[in-house]
Amino acid sequence: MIEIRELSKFYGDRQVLHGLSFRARAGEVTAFLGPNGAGKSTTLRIALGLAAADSGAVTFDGEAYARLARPAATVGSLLSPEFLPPHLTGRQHLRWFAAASALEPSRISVVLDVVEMAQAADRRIGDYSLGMRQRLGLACALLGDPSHLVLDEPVNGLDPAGVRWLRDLLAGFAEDGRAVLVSSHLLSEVELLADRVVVISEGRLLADGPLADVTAGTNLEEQYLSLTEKAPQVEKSERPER
Amino acid sequence: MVAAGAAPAPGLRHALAGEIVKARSSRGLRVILLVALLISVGLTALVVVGGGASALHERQTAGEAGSPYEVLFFGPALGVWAYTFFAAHFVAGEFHHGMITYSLAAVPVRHRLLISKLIIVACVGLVAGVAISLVNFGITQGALLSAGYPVLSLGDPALVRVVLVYVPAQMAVWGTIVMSLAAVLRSTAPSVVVVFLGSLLPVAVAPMLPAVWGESVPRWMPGALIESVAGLAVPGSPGYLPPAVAVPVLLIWLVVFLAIALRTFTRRDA
Repeated sequence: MIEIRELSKFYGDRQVLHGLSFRARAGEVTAFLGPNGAGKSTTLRIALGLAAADSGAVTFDGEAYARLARPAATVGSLLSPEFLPPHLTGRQHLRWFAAASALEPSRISVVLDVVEMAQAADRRIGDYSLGMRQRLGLACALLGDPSHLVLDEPVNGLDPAGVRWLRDLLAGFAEDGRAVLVSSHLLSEVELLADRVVVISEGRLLADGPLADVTAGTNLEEQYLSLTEKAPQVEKSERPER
Repeated sequence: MVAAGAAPAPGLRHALAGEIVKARSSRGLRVILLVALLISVGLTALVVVGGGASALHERQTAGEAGSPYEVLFFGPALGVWAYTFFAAHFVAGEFHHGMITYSLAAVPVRHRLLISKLIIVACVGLVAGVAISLVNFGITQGALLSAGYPVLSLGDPALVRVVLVYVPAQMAVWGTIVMSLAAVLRSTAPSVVVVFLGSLLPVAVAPMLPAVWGESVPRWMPGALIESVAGLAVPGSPGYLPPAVAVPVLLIWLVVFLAIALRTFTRRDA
């Protein structure tokens, strides 16, 4: 289970997360939705130890990411395909990641086959299309055969066949009893994929529940827009002393 | 999907293995390293060819500050600073493209990531420094020998000390200091420039300050400390400190820079 507990974050005097709490349970695909600037990426970056929370915590089966015994084998992550190093080939990127994470090198060819990137693996990442970078990023996330997946906008750049492939992959992942947390703006895809939906705006939780409960007789787009347009103004809070 | 299987929990040696793969796979880093080596050796060769064996002999027998070994270090004087670009980019490059997100996903215990980079920078600097010293020795002494002039001997303990310490220590120490600053600034060129100017400043301003400055301050700077440790500084000269003092002071410099780098690297948002 991925647990976000009372998460708050300030950038200077600007509070971007206000005591955010929700869970992504094992065996479910949890969609993490919100307008641009809502705090989704900030939440995911804190979860992966890339940024520090001012208060609260994110844990994976009770443990913070940096304290996991085998981080990459517990949590697979995809934040942005732009962060892939353009000067390395796909295979080189997976090779150093596997070495640093103490993962079996034999996993590299396995995940390249899963994401259908074996043919392009020895080309420079700088020459890849956006869709190819997404696939490589997914390969990296799957390298440790993790029990949790944290994906930020994974369908960006994928063609329709790729979107369907990803949907099947994530559904299978959840069916295996693993936890999947996916942020996305593609609401039509979320409706086909998600078991649970979390909606935030301006760093505050607006909805958290099974897809059917959140959509409540309407469709996800209508409910999402209704929630985010009605989001209350946030009161200014004091940044806590560190 | 095939399971990953049981594997050890990753530690420093795995972080180091990952960084070695990264360094070896990065054409940019290899080019910077090659440029540093070529400058270190090429400039020496250029001086030898341009000045000829007689000029070399004159410098070797009447070098400034009385050191006969000065001829070995024409090229490395610049090559060391070219090497600091390698050291700085090894850290700062992670932030240019956002690759740091993957590095910290693989190695979330941040001090391990920085320490593994430090180990590589220091070791490569030491090994390359010894190689550069020996190649420069071969170039300069080979030119002298072929012209019939007397040559230095690697049987001389003082020369061996210089060859094994001076350039290797310069590369390892300045590489470490610049790498540490790059971990703070997250930028390659500014890190090199700031450290380079900082190393020159105490000597550059000495003529404009009271004599006590020039006689007491520059000897405490890393470059002068390395000269003292390597046996290049002449005892009693303004740049000299006994090795028993120079070594711990040099270590203090390194510890201070590394401590600041580690504190910043482990606490700041990536």
